Amino acid sequence: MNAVSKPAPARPEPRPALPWRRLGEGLSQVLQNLLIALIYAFLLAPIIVVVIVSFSESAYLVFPPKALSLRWYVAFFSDSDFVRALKNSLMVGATTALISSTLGILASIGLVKYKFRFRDLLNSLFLSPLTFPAIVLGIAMVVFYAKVKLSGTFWSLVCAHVVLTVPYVIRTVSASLYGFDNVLLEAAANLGASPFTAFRRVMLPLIKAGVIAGAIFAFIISFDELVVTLFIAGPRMTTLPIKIFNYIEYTSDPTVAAISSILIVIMLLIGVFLPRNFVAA
Amino acid sequence: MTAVDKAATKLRGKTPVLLVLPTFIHFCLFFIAPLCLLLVYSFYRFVPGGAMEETFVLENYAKFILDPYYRGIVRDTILLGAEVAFFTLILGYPLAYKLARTRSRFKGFLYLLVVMPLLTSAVVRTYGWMVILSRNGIVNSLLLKWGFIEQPLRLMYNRLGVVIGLTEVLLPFMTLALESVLRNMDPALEEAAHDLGANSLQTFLRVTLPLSLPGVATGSVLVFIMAISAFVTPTLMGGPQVRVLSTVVYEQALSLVNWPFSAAVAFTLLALVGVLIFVYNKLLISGKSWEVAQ
Repeated sequence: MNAVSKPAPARPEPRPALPWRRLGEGLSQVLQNLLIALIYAFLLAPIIVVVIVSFSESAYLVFPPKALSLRWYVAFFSDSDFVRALKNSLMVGATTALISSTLGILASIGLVKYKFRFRDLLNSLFLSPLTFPAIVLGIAMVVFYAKVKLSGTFWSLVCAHVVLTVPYVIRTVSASLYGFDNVLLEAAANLGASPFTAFRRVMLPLIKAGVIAGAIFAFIISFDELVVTLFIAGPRMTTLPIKIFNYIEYTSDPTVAAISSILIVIMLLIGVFLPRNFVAA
Repeated sequence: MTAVDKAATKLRGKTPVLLVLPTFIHFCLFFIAPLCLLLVYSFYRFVPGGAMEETFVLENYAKFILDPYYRGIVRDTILLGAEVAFFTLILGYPLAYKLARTRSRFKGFLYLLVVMPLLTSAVVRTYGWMVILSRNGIVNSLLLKWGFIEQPLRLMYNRLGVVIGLTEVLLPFMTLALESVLRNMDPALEEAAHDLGANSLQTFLRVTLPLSLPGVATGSVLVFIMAISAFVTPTLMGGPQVRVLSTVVYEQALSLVNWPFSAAVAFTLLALVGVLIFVYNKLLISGKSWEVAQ
């Protein structure tokens, strides 16, 4: 009864490939993936190494570590110089992010939503710190602050960092603003909203993702900034990157690896969550 | 007219001035004014001991033309930029191609791995390279243990270290620049070339590469600019041996307090970057008209 099995549904015959050719393709695929893996290894090597070394027991660089410990994390947080530098960086970064976001949001609205003379010129000026050599700005700032007697204070750092971070805010906020329809503002005005209310209740919620991304970028750039800060930070306003820079010029124990690893993990988390947040709107 | 243009023409009046004014004032005070002051200083004469004579001399700039030592530093800086641009291109192209073409479900993760180093500070990554390449670093201790070498190799505190470090630090920029062009390229073009009998190499050389040239130009100029103005990596990986324009700016300003010369070096660097950006914009425009002509 079940002698004859049903004929299999007709399937298009795959093109007959010569076995050596298929082998060649498979091999080249493997080689390609190997190449990509090696490039990734090169790109990520320093980061991975820093994280591994931070758990090392020994004060010398031994790789791979012979024994694991958290002593370098303890060492970092018990060094009052490092902790003060971390605090300075956090304060400067947060203040910079706040001011940059405010300036950047206002400027973006002006640049994107209005047409006026010198608009393109202003736009280029505001974005120019992105490609401007930090070392040139550093020497310019130190010369300038010496002239106006403003060297080495908290606000001298913040003012310089705002210049460096405003472009990032303008870029992300502008990107959000391109998708915003001005009709909504008119509608709000017709319904009796003041311009500020219209901004706060209508525009801001719609460009929120861009604003958040811009503020986070501003914080990261300020927190990581080394070159300009190296010129203008006096001995009282040492930030974390400067402290790390000075430390590794002369010492090689893994204290720096410990704080670096913490920063890497924080950045990784931001990297995972930021784009999703930014794309969401 | 695009939707964007329409939105932009809708609003007129005095408001935009008020909106951009705060940022403009801030930039005037903390960007333009310092640079103007620096420009003025670059024509002053340095008096040993840290003072300056307020005059107008060109001797600070003349050093770059007359003094072979400083001429060499300009040449070395440009060479360094070219080398780093070349190596990031070689490494970035396969990576960008893979990112643009892969249908893997790990695509987002592969992207993240390229972007993540950008979010990690250059100091931290340079420190990582010091751990890898130093005298008793990972590479040397492994090679010694396996018996390939008798003496540790000198992999950093020289030019090699700077090139390795900068290539890694700037690789993401090159990759992203190439990837954005490769992603927008129609894969059907490559398939067509294959169907017409071209092998992989021919397809790459005659279809993929020419079409991705705008990305190659963008990425190379970007990386070149960042490499010649880099300071952290040349200082930490190069040590006192490697001198480039940015390290001379720092040394002259902070160690020798020779502000006029430091200012002149800074403006020389700025001029180099300016020329590159100009060339880059020209390339961009000719690239666009070329696209239109297609």
